Amino acid sequence: MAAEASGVKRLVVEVTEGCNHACLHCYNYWRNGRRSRRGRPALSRKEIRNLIQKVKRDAPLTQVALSGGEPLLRKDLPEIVCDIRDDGLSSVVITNGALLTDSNLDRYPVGSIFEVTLFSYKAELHNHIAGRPVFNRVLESLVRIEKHKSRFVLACVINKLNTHHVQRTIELGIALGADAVLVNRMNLSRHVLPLAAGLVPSASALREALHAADEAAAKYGIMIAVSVPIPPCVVDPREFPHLHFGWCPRGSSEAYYTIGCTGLLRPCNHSSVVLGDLRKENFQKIVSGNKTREFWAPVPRECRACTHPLKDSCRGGCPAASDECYGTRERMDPIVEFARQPVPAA
Amino acid sequence: MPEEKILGMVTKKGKLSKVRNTYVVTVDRKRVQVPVGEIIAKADLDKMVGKEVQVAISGGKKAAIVGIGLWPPAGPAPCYWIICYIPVPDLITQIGPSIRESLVRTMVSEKIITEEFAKEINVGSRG
Repeated sequence: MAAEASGVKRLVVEVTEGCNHACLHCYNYWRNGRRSRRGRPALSRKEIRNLIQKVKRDAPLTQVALSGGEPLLRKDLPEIVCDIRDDGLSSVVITNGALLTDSNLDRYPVGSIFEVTLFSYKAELHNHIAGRPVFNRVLESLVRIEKHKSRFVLACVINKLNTHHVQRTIELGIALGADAVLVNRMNLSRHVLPLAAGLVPSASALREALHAADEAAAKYGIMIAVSVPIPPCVVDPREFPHLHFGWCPRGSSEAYYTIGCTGLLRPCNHSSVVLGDLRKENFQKIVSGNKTREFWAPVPRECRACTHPLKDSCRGGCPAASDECYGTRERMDPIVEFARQPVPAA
Repeated sequence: MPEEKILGMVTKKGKLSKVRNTYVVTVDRKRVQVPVGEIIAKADLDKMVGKEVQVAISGGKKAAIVGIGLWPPAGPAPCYWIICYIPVPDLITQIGPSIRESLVRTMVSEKIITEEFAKEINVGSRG
């Protein structure tokens, strides 16, 4: 495990917990007033740079994703992006896109990469899911990104309300200059559970949305990734030859450990579990420690007898979602409970 | 050595062999270990040992195998590639201006965006 962990290439840094949106499916564990900062101040620009450099000393880091909350709420975000570039790393800013103006975009290096969320090609639905009337501002931001000669990847999060909008939303994204697309199903956490019945798409609706994405990938030659794992007992990824499916990397070199805005290191951006304090401990020590090893270890009981050909990739879906919703990683991803229906044998 | 780009990802032809308990693909006279379990089950790899395979490669200089399947690929689609968390830069491919222009016209005709807004879109401005 230690050797694997030292191969970590990617990192997520949550530069703020604040957000100007109120997305229906938001999984962030600090949402709804749950405190995470424990009285600690948010990291300064200098501290963020120091922590990234600290990880880089321990691992062959190549890429940093800046997330939140909404990272653009930090006025010094362009300078943070420049710091990352100056340290020889690539960056991607994961944003809802509503706050990108001409003046703040000018402070980013040309060629910056943004990952921008668009829930629907229809303003009403996008605004409903985002909880704010921001659709037009997001579209304007996407045009600005292209004018700035930077790039964006469209991120469409699927829930029950927008499954039938996927293809048109991808097409709108391509029209506006998207260079790739992420089609991610919503991922559950504890405070979204009460809404799950109304938000989690059924397996058949999810399959329909993925077929629409698959068709778009084939038709336009755009890369489309489905990076939040979908257990094959819900929908079999092999039905979609043009999509790239992601699985939980479970502590391998593909893992994307996440630094919270106070410097606490977590297994990923979905988990609230704190593995260690990166300001006090070194990265290698944290990721090779028992707590980290134990976090990734369990395969849910219900999955141990699984015979699906992709069982070794799936291993129960998203362990962080199980942990957040059920308090244990011994149960399979809660998406299964809400979305599953009988599927034909492989 | 056959090499092609499927969905922007480099794929190459190689041969899979088993050395003790590890699986190795020989591509361009280089031997690269296949990560068992992360991208493919051990049982499926066993079926391909000794055969020609197609591998998908990601990661630039530090290339890593992110997908593997039998050569020639079966079925109507080239093959499916199961990869772990996908970094955004590896995904990026630029879409041709003609496709974009056509979609912009569609979006205007369906009143998804206005004619005025469409004029703001600089198709092909990044060159």
